[in-house]
Formats: sequence, C-alpha cells, structure tokens
Amino acid sequence: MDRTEAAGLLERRSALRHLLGASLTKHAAALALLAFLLFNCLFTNNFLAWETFYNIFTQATKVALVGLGMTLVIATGGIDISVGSAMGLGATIAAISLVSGNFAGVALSFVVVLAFGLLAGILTSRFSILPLVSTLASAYIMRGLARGISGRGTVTYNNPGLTNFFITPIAGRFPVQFFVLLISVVAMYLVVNRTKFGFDVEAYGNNPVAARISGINTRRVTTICYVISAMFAWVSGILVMVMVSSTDPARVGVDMELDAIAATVIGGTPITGGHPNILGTVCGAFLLQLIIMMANMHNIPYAYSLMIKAGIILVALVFHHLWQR
Amino acid sequence: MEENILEIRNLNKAFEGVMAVDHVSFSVRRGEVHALMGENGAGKSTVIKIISGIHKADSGEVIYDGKTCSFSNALGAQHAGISTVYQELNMIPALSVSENIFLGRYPFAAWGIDWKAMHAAAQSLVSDLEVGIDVRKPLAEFGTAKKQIIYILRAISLKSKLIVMDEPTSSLDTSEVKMLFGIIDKLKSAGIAVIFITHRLDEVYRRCDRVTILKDGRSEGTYAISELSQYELLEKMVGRNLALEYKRTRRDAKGDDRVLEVKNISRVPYVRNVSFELHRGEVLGLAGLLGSGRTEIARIIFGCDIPDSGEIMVNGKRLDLHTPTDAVSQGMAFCTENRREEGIFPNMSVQSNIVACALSKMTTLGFIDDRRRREVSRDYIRKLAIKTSSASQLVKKLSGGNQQKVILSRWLAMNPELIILDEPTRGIDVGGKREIEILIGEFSRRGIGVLFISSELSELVRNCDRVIVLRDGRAVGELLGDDIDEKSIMRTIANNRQLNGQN
Repeated sequence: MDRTEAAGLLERRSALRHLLGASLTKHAAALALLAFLLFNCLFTNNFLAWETFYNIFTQATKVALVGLGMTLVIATGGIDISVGSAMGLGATIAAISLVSGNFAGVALSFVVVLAFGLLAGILTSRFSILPLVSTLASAYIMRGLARGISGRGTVTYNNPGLTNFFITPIAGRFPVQFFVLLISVVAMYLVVNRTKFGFDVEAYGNNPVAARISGINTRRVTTICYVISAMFAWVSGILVMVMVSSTDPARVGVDMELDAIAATVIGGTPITGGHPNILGTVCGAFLLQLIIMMANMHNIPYAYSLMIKAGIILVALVFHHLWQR
Repeated sequence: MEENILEIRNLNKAFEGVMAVDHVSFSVRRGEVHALMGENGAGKSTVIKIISGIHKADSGEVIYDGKTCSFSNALGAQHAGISTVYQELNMIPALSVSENIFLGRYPFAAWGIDWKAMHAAAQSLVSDLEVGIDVRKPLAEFGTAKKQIIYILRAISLKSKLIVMDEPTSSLDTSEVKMLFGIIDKLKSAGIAVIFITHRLDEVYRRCDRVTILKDGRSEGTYAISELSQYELLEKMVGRNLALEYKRTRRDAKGDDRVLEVKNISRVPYVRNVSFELHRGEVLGLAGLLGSGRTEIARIIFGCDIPDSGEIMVNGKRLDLHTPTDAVSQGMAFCTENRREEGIFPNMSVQSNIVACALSKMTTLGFIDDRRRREVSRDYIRKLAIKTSSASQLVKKLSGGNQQKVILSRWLAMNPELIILDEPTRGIDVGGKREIEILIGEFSRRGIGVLFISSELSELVRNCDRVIVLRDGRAVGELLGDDIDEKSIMRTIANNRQLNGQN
C-alpha cells in the first residue's frame, strides 16, 4: 500500500469515526432512554401499563417544557436559575385571578413573567452581569412576589370547566400535556434548526467574539433566549396549577431549575455554549422521570433515586466531554 | 565556565501542521541583554514558551548553563534559573510584596511563618536594586512598572541567571521605561542575562547588546546591535521575499467612487488623527510595525472600538451608532487577524461557518432557505477550493489555510462593498498564501474596496494600489503605484523612527 492510499484510508477512517461520534453525542440521551425503557419492560413488574406512561408523561412534561427554554439559554453559554420561581409567580398570579374568574389576569401573569425574563436578559447582555447572578436576583424577586401577593399560602380556585379540559385525556388516552409538549418541541426544534435566530444562538455559544464581528446582534439574541426561557417556565407553571386547581406559591417550581439543567446536560447541549440539542433535552427530562418511577416501582427509597439521578448526570457529562474533544 | 548561559539548537515546534518554530538556533551570553524581534506569528512567543517550560519542543535542544534541559512546566524552568516576566503577571494582588517574592518558599520558624525574616530578605533585595518599594504593602498598590520590578526581584531571589521579559515596556510611560532600564543595567552588572522582547526599535538600540530576528518561525540570524543599522534590521524582520511569483497589476482607482472615508480618527494612544479614503475596487495597504495602530484603525472602522474623535463615512454617508452589526448592514466585512479567537465557530460545520453573514439574505420570516444555504456553501467550497471532506465537516478539523478560506467565503457570500483584511495570510503555508493573494485581486475586480493589513512588506508590494505607512498611531507617508516597494516603505518607517528616537 503506497502512501497516498494509506492517507486516504486514514482520512476515511477518521471521517467515519467523526460521523459515528457526532451521531452518538447527538442521540446519546435517546439511546439511554431506550435502554432504560427496555430494561424496565423486561425487569419491572406492571411497567407495561398505560397508566405508567401516562404518569411519566404528565410528570416529565413540566421538566421538559422548562428544559426547552433552559436549553436555549445554556446554548448561549448562560444559565437561568429563575425558572422555578417564574413558574411559581406565573401560577400564583393566574390562580388569584381565577378565584374571581378573571381570565385577563392569566394574560397578566404571562406578561409579568416575561418581563422578568427580559430583565434578566438585559442585565446579562447589556450590563455584563453573570447570568448566574442576574437570574438568581430575579428568582428571589419572583418567589418573594408570589408569596407576598398570595397573602397566606395556597391559593385555590374553582373552575370546573378549565379543570375538566385539562384532566380529560384527548381521544380517551392522551393527556393534554402531551399535545402542549408536542407543539412546543416541534416549534423549538424548527426555531433552533431552521431559523436565523437559532443559528445566531449556536454561533454565539460557539464563539461570542466571532459572532459579534459577523454582524450578529448578540445582545438581542441572548436577551430573547432569557425571555423564551421565562415563557416556557410560565407554561409549565400553568400546567402544574390546572391539574390541582390551586397554587402553593412556596412550593410550585421549587428545584425545577436543577431538573431542567440536568435534562439539558444529559441531552448533550454543551454547558459552555454551542448547539442547542432540543430532542436531547426532552429525552433527558423523560429519562430523569423514568429513573424516579423505576426506583419507585422497585421500592427504592426516593433518597436513593436522587443519587441514581446524580450518577446519570455525571456519566452524561463525562461522556459528552470525551466525545467533544 | 561556558560563555553562553543559554544555547538553543535546531528548535522545532508545529501546531496543527503549521510550523511555528522552524529550526531556530541562537545563543545568549552571560550578562548580555539580548533582543528577540519579529512580527506577529514570527514565533517569538513560542520560542519563549519553550524556553520557560510552557510548551514542549517537537525536536531540538535547549542548553541552559551547560546542561541540556527539558522542563515539564514553568516551575521547573524557574527553579533551574530561568524566569519569565510576562505582560500579564502571575502574582497575587492582595498579598504583600514580600509574600509575592517568596510565594511558595516562605521561611519557617518553629512557630510558623517567619515574617520578620521574610520581610528582611525582601528588603535586602529591594535595597540592592535601589528601588523605593515598601515590601509590607500589598502588591495591588503598585503600578505595572513596579510590579514588573517586583517580579524581577522574585527572579533574583530564585537565583535566576536568565530573565526573559516579554514586551515589558508596552504599557509603560517614558519615566517608567527609564526606571526599568536602570534595573536591567544592574542585572547586567550582576551577570544576569536578559532576553528582551519589544517592538520599539529605539529601545533595542538604546539598551540591547545583540539581537536575534525571527521571521515566519525561522531565525534570520543573530547580530551585534552596533553592527546592524535600523534599516538592515527592518529588512530582515519584514523584508525578505517569499518566492511568490504572483503579482497583481496595479490600477489607479483615484477617480472611482469612494467607498470609505476616514476623517481624523483618534483613539489615544493607539491611533492619532488618521485620515484616508478608499475607492471602489482599490487595494489599499496599511503598512507599519506591530503596535503602529494598523489593527486598531481596522477595529474602529468596523465599530469594534469607539474612537475618541473623528468621522467615518461609508458611501458618502456618515455612520453614527457604530457597532459591528451596523458595519455589516452597511456592507462592510472584516477578516480579523485572530482566526481562532475572532473568526471561526469551531464546533459548527463548514457550511454554517460559510453562511453565517449571508443568512439574513436567505431567510423569509426568519426561516432559512435550506436549499440556498447548501448551494451557497457548496459554491464557495468549490470556488475557493476549500479542502474539506464534506460541507458538514466541523470547521475546527480543517487546516489553518482552509479555515481562512472559509472565513473569506463567509464575507464574500454577503456581497460586501468593502473588506478589511487583517493579516489574512498569517500562519498559512506558501501555497495557501498565494491562493489568498489571488483572491484579493478577485475582490478588486468585483469592485470591492480592500483595506489590506500585513506585516509582510513583499505582500503589500505585490497586491496594493496604494500604501499608507503608519508609525506610532500616525500616518507618516503614502506611496502610490510604482513607488511602492519594500525599500521605500522601510525607509518611511525607519526615518520616522530615528526622528522619534531623538525626542
């Protein structure tokens, strides 16, 4: 074999390895999810029941929704730890309005939550405040506001029409959440992979300086990411509220930012910024919920299932780190 | 005892296939001040990093004090006796001067750190050099010059016999430079050798004994300063012709429309009162040494930095509210000198990197026309002969020259009226350089105004219709048509240098 031939072979081999690596990192979360599903189908009693999936779906959806926005923010190299509080504030304002049957108040809750997203975005992009700090600040304000305006704890409303709409499965089988998530995922997938905005987010996450010099309006792009994150947090908060016809301002959305970050990291979006892996995040959210469910069905205490969760996150991080070099 | 404290033999180092240091040999005598000169990418910092243990050479020898050395890290070099004073010093601002000098080597007594002994030792170092420094004060209270001196004190306390100074004077004012030179004299008389990196010719002639000149990773030789004129030094640093036969036919664009007018822009201390205009289809060169303000002017025009004063007009229209986003929307393109830091999106595909600036022209309601995206990138990969396994290959896997072509494609795809090329051939092999120079001619034919910045004079001579010579942030000369040759450019820089040296 002469030299050029050998070089050609080497090149082809490295191209193959690159292709394999690229699709592996892209779909690692999906593969892991499949593996866990298979394991459970084989080894967990009563796993193959519609109720199980229904449960996983309703639980995982709130994390997946918040994760969609988080994915965008993390793709810019930022982080949004105000999502849990945003859920709480949105759901609180909405619940208070629904007590008096005022649907305009629900719209108001949307606007308020978005405004806080905008604030965090502007603080981060224009005043160069670390995202961790700016979203921490808005997290405290929103949680404080939620608890303040609710007066004494849980706000319960009575609106049978609304409740029935959300708890009645569509076509007798599919939870409403399923469709909310489906629409959101499709929309976000298109935004990320087919629009200039999605391109700009990825470019900024890759190299902020190059993005600026390429004429991308980097401030606007990053700010919008925080607004979108707030929007999905609001949707998730409202879904939590309508299931129980009430909001506990101190509880709704607590620790949600951690689950959303975990789902994003497992999904393969680089924590230092880069390609937002929308489908990965959704798989990540379902994987997290599946682990909790699995532990539950095997009578493993919740405390231990948290540790399994942590283990999965670590494995994901190491895996993505190794492949990204 | 050996005459040389340091001897470098046949040093080689490549980064991703590009030779950064190519068979470099030189030696430094005990107690001499040895200047190391060269333009951007000449390999100075790589040589320094190998000497000080940060990089490992691919091959070649570093012989220090008669022994062949291979330091595994900077600490190893320091303990052997080689200290390096970087532009950004690695010291701890909150700690006292003494603590910084003896960091990691605090004297201990039975009860703990022996503060008294430490301060006394530091004080005696300070007294030896006759610099007024209170060793108990925190480092943060001192300016850059004093901090450098404190670092030098640390080097002395480590019994260093060789101190490398990487552009120590770049951020000092005249009196501070004088103070530093006083210290260097004392080091010299103590038998400590200094490798001195600077871009200021007058400093080399005032203080250095010998100079080693690097160019394109190769050594252009070591000379005694007394036997080398400024002109000769410049010639060796920026003059030598690469064997490129390509030469663009010059055109006189003076009569054509003005794409860009720059009026009296200043950004002190980098740029002082610079004015020029650029015509459609003209290739205008900015010549001058590193630090003469050439990159800074480009950054101001493109809106990366805001000038203190002055106007920029594009197509006869004054530009306000200047940011790179505005610049791009006005049809400006800017290929920066730092490909890696400011150019590529490393983890994105070749295709994405090519279309990054043209995307806004291929979207409807924000959605990208995927077919056009593919067509455009395929087009440029073919036209510029970009070597890549496919359009979806990650751009970071490409060679430097091909990455540069990707970035040029990115700007070409947006159909610019004006393109600024800052060192577009840096770190690229000869073949790649040639291809990029041919592209410059192509820009001109398409009526694009080209502002071309290069350290390599021959490159300017081959490609430019007109050249503006810069020195210390000022435009000091303009050459037109056949007057453009290496000698006249160098003469313009050197003459003004000598004038400058007198004040």
